[in-house]
Order: sequence, then structure tokens, then C-alpha cells
Amino acid sequence: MSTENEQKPPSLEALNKQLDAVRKLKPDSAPATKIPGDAARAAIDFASATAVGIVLGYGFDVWQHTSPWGLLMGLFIGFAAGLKLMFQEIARQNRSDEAKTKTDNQTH
Amino acid sequence: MTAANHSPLEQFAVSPILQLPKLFGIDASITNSSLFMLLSVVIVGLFFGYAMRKRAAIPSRMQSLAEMIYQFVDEIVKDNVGHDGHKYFSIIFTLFLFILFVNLLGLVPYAFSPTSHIIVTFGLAAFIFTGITIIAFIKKGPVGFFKHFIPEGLPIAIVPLIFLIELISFLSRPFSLAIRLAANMVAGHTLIKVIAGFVFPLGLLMGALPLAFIVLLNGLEVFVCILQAYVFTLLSSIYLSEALSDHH
Repeated sequence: MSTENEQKPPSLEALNKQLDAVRKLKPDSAPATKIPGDAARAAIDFASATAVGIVLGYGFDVWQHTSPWGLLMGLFIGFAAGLKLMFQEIARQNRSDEAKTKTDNQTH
Repeated sequence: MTAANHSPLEQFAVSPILQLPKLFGIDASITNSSLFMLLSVVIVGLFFGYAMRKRAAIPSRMQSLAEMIYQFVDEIVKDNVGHDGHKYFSIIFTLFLFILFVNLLGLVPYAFSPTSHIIVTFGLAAFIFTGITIIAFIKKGPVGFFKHFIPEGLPIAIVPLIFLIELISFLSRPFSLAIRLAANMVAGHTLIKVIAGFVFPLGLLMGALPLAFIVLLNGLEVFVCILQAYVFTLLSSIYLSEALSDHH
């Protein structure tokens, strides 16, 4: 009768407690992996937004004969749009990185 | 040994394979570019048809591979577009498979990579962009669509400027999608060609170094091909989710 208790496998709660104890010892397990394409996405967004701004500015120039102010305005607005896109992309990647490391470190 | 001066950019030349008569003024002949695009479509169809032919509940290896690819794209759509996004799954899945297989086929020696041409990638990007804009127009109405560009709680003075900035960042999307894919493909293939040009002139012993480098580069290129297909698809899903979202 007493041998039954010794041979019972450890309960799930006991196993979970052991896992939690081990997990607490390593608080920062691997952060979310970054791939080379991540930074390139932000960079290309910036460059293409600037380019689109320049093209649209120049087109407005040709249309309204306001050279060179149309081109300049387009350059500035495209630059601003590119910066905005770049910050957006980086913020989005930071958020998803945090979400990934959080789920990796989640204890039951 | 004199070698003709082959430019590493020669591999990107589009040459007709089968001359067909003009269709409505457009040259409809089959070029190496269209051949590889057709080949990619055929291979995708054959692969999925063959892999899923038994539809076993416990999948074989091939079927498991096909299901993993499906699941991969399903995760992208679910995570980004949300639960209602499933009706757009077919187009996103087709887009992903097309770009993936066209990219990978271009790595075969003597093969042509259609996505290295901006016109191909811009065609895809413009298609996605136009579709998503139409969806946004229908979903939000024309007024709501332009309201989307103006965040809430702005002082009225800078609203025109912010509107212009948002408009330009919106319009830059197809270009960034197109350029990203085309530039990655061109850069990878050109680099491989340039390094490959060093192998023979260096002889048997020293030529092993660039040869090893090319082996590694090809491995990196496979990764880049898959990655670029993933990024294109991911960004398309993100833009689609922005078009479908009701807030902001």
C-alpha cells in the first residue's frame, strides 16, 4: 500500500512548480531574433517616400509652373513622410519584439 | 585565355523565346521572363495538387509540407488582418506562393529571375495597392477614406500639412514594396555573377576561394528569396488590415 504512493508519478502541479522555479533563474532568455531585412524595411520606406515626394513635387511644378518651389516642397514633405514611416516601422518592430519576448518568458 | 567581356548585368536581359503576333498592339511573345512566371505557376499548382492528393487526416511528408506552408501564410493573415480577414486569404496566399517560387526558380543556374525587374514587382505592388485602396473606399466611403489621413485631436492649423504627409506616405507604399523586392533580387544575383567571374581566371587552386564564397552566397540568396516573399506578403496584409480597420 505504501509503495503505491512512492511509485505515483509527480503531479502536474509539482512539475509546473519545478518549471517555474527554473524559469525564474533565467529571466532574459533569448530575445526575439532580428533578421537582416528588418532595418532594410524601414530604410526603403524612408527612401521611397522621399522619392515619391520629389516626383509629386516636380509634377506639381510642371503643372503649375512654380519651379523650383514645388520640387522643394515635395522634397520636404516627402522627407517628413519618410521619417514618419521609418519611425512607424521601427515602433512596430519594437512592439512585436516585446510581444515575442514576453510570450517566450511567460510562466504558467 | 581571353574571355569575352561579359557584364554581370547581362543576366537580366529579357529575350523572347517564342515570337507570337501582337495582341491589341502589345507584343504577346513568350519571353524568358514570362516563361519563368508561367513555370512558377505550373510548379505551384503541381506541387499542391500532388501533395494534397490523398487529403489524409494524418499527413504524409509532402502533405505536411504543403500544410505547413498554408499554415505559415494563415498565421500572417490571422495575425495581421484579423479574424474577418480570412476571405482575403486566397489572394495573399497566391501572392506569397507566386513570389516565393519565382524567386527560388531564379536561383537555378541559367534561370531567369522575373522579380528582378521593377516592372514585374511594381505590377504586383500596384495591383495590391489598387485593390486595397478600392477595398478601403468601399468600406469607409470616400469621406471616411480621406478622414483616415487626419489623426484625431490635431490643431486645425497643421491639418493640411499632416494630410499631405500622410497622403505621401500612403502613396509611397507600392513603390517601397516594388523596389524592396527588385533591389534584393538584383543585388543578390549581380553579386553572385561578379564573384563567379573570379573563379576561372584565378585558376584551380586560388579559384576555390571564390567558389566557396559563391556556395555560401547562394545559401544566403535562398534565405533572402524566402524572406522577401514573406516581407511582401506581410506588408500587404498590414496594409490590408489598415484598410479594413474602422477606427482612426
